[in-house]
Amino acid sequence: MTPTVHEPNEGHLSDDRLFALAVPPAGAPEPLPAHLLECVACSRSLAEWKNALREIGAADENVLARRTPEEWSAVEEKTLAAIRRAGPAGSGSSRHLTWALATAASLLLFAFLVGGRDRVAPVAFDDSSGLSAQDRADDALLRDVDRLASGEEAGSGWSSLVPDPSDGAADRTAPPEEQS
Amino acid sequence: MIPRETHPGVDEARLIREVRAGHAEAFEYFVRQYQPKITRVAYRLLKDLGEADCAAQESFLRAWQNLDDFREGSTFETWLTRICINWCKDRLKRRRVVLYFHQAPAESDGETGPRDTTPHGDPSPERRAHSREIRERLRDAIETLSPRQKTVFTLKHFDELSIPEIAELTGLDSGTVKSHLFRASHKMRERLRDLSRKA
Repeated sequence: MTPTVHEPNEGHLSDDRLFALAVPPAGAPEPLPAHLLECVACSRSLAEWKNALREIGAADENVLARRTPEEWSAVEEKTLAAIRRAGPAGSGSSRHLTWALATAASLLLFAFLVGGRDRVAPVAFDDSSGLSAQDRADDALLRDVDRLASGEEAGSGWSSLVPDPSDGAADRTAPPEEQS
Repeated sequence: MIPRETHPGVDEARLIREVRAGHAEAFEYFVRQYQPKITRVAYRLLKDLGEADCAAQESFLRAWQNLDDFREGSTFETWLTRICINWCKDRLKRRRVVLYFHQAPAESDGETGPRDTTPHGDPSPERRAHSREIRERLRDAIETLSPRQKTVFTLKHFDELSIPEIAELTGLDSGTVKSHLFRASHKMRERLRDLSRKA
């Protein structure tokens, strides 16, 4: 801030206070403080803030005011050309409808796939029960032992207990007289 | 300020009906009539003439493509301005994302701004410098506002629209407009207070 105006400790209005008076927050003018009646520097500063706001608005106008009618016409022609390329009026609504339908169909498909996966997943979980291959083999062995203990003769349950004849175990069970 | 001109000789509702009926050439009236006004609205918000032209063209294009959504109870100008403001707000939001990398092009007062018109006679060089500094600080403070706050502030203090007019253009209710206006002023004031302490 230029030091020629005032210093805050002289009881003058601060810049933010001047701004609030120049640009009322609610859009309606605020009552002016009594200090402004006796202080020329502050009343001048307030006028400068108001003027600055007007000038900012006027600067925008000036930029556009420099454009000639021919330049405006050229800009308008560009807009009209873009509109001609865009197809018939109101085509955006039908395009939006197409997009909305496509989006809805995609969401339905996604929901169906996700829902289907959720239904299958618990079955797969129950099937494996989170057990390792070793655990499952142990379970099968225990079931076979249980069947044997209860006297069942189910052939399918012997696989874990009965030695496979092809692995040479039969040689170890040969009669003693043949070995001698 | 956004001029509110009336065109007693032109029945815009009839022209809209003609365009809807397939007479596309009738739309040219709206482009010729409102392109400068819409560009001005966009420029106030975007502060970039190229982007303002783009905003205006996109607004007309959207109006054309969504003409079926236009209700005859409202005016075409209001509807078009609302489309443009929404486009600009989107642009401002995107611009904020890259704020750290790109500053909005600031125009030097010597080239584009108006002459210093301090209200107390012929200003001294010091007073001119002071006025210029106030303008720069005001511009900086405006740039700190959110897109919605900036829109409401600009329409109120530069276009000098009333609260109900701003509400109509932005699609907000009057209470919300006042709230945004209050917050915008408060935010700017806080920023100016901060600068005042630094000075």
